Amino acid sequence: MKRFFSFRNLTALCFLLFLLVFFALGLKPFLREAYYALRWGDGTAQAEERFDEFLPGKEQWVTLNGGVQKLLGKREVNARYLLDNGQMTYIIPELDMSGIAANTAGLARALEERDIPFLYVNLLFKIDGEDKQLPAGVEDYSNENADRFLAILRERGVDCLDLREREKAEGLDHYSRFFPSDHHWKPETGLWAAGEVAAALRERDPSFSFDPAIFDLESYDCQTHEKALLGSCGRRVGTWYIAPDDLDVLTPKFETRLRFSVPSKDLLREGSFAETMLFPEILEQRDRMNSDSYDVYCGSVYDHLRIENLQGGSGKRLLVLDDSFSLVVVPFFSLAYAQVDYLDLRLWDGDLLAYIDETQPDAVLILYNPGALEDNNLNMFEFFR
Amino acid sequence: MLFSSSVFLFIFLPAVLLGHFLLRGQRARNLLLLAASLFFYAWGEPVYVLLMLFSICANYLLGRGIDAKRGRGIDAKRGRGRKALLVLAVVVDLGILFVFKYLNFTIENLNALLGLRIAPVKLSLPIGISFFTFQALSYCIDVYRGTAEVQRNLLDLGLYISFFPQLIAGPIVRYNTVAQQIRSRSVDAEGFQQGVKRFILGFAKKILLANNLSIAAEEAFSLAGTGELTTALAWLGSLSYSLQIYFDFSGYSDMAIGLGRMFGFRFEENFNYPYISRSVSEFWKRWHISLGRWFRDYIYFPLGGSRVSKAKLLRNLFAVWLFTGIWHGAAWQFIVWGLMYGLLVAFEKLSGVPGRLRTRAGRGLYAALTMLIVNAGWVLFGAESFAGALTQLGAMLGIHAAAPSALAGFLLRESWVFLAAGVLFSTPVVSRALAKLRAGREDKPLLILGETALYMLLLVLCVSYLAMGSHNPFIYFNF
Repeated sequence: MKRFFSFRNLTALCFLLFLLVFFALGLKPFLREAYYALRWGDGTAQAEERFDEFLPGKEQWVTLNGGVQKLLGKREVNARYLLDNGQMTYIIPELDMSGIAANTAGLARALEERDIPFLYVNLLFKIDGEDKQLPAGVEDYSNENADRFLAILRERGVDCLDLREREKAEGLDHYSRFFPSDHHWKPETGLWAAGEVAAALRERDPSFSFDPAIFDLESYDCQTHEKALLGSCGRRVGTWYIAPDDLDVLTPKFETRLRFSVPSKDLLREGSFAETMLFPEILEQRDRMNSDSYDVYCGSVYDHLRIENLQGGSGKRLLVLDDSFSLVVVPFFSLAYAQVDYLDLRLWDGDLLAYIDETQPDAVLILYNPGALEDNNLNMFEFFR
Repeated sequence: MLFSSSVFLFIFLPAVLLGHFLLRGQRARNLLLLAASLFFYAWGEPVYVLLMLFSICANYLLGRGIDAKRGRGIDAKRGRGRKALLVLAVVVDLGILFVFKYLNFTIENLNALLGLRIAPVKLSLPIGISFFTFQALSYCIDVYRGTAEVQRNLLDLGLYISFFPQLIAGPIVRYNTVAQQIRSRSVDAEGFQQGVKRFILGFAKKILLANNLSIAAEEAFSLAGTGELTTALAWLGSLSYSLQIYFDFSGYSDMAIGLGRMFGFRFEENFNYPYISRSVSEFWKRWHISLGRWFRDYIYFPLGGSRVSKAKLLRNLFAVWLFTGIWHGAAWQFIVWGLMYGLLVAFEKLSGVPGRLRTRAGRGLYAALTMLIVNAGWVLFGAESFAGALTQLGAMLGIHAAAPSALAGFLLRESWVFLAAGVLFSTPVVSRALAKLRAGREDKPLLILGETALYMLLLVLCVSYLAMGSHNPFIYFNF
């Protein structure tokens, strides 16, 4: 034993110490995950995956690795790409749009039969189709996919709003409207998008009127939380690779009274915008790897979120099918209407047409970003289940 | 469970090491290692651990049977009985391998050849089946030949067949090389440290080099057949794969050898810088040495080896290389790959090349040609299909290659550090320089500190890649 604990065996001793420290720290999470794997029949692969998520010092390990990748000059790390302008994103391959376009046109037809207006809104993707900023040799087809998808929809008479066109028409700088460490857009961009969609609805039917102040940035107080957001790309590569972003929390200067409810979670909040739409406690979480400050708006993505404007808004009731980009659209868009139901089809497994028949919304909208245009994107285009 | 996983590194390995150190006595330690090995296998293959247990029990009984029929002097009846039991062992072991690995391939080819419609059997390939069945077979053959004593302890035989360090990616440990160690071995501080160093080196080879090199290789393989594979990318992909498979496989072997040493075992080397070989024959003496020795001892020599007529030599060589190809996977591309090497080795044996080449330039040229052939062979080996392999080989020669694109440039910029390191570490240059540096200074505190810092840095870097959830392919699913 004495011989073993000698200076000559320093490498072995350091190795053992390293292993034992992580064994001590990791045993409890491992046993928990192994228990779940046995209890729920999840399989050991999933238990390993979940153990990896709770690996002791995960944030520091990822940060270190990000630093190494930066030193090596790598532009592709963990399936995320560093753009020429220093921002990060993922990329989308060229995909067949015919299936999901047919499904969407089918939904539009079903709504037409019910005399319910329908609008497909194509949001922005992190990559600007006219200024991709990708390293030479890397191709992204998100915008080309969206072009083909919208062309099919328009050909089939589906009403579409392409926010990319609005952005270009207004001469807005694309990349500054996104978080550099995330593929999501900023709250200010969400506010802009909400205003564009509301204006498009009003243009089609003047009864969808709204107070223009709702979508005016000047109507909001802005509190900037410095370096508060490490986006989904950033969480994959760490802060030595890309710095965290500042996050603006917008609160209306005007009076608001809302009801925020998530039936599946028994979550019910009533009060002002700040009391219902914002979850500031998320900004206090220290675990940047396992929390997303983007959720300060709405708290999370939900299967079904209902926002009721207790001041009435325009009196209209809407149904919106959405993705995570909506987290910063929902709070502002909802202010213009009496009630908006948001369904995320990745999580909601009800019968959409039955739900529509039951709730009789004044309009149905789809708000998807071009990155969501995939056949296998977790049921987002499975409208008739 | 894979060595290159955080569950293995942070939970399984420390738990087993701790238990091994706390227990006293060989029997208790062997029992612990057997239980750990079965858990290791069951973690990823809960059902197939039963297959493993069947293999252990069947070979134990057959080995005992073969030994019981061993008589003193010449006894024809006993001899026939022994032979029958050996044949039964071969049938059982190869039968297991055939059912799980080759049955569907056979059905597929029978259907194509005879126009039949036999439905394929729904069976997934048990991980490491080619390794543990060959080990089990080597036990029965060694007992039959009398080159190893029969194992009377079922648990010890179980440990030999299922021992986790070499279970899923080798090396293939022949029974007669470890029989004594299973009975009696000791773990000394020096051996343990050597094991730790070897394990970390293997871990680094796998995580830092092989995994990073796999990105360009997989991109090229995936584009073969899409019409988008350029000449540059085909070459980059094939070179990356040649290095990836070397660092992946030899990394696993290093980890296995290192783990073995931590528990007091000494396994034979499995790789010896194969990419510095000057001929195809030399390459195969340096690549997957344990497999080569297995085929040599159990097929080539029993068939007469090379001390036979030329016709028989050719038969022996092609038999060995046909089996080598099939062993690597149930697909035609592996058979063609094996036979290609059979042809080349036969050429070298019969012609005396490269030994007969007189000039240095000639020998150098032949060495370069060898590496080109090996590289082409890996394309055949790693491609998703035989057609895909031909497409990539064609693209490397500019045949039906796509118009140049910037993708190869991007991948090269991303991976040049790993390619350069791969080329450097696939030669003995660094290890020789380090050995020179260490010579006579083994006890110098500065050297010990420097070495420890280097090994721990490698370990920390590897863990950072694991934590990152980086691309971590397992390329032995065919074995």
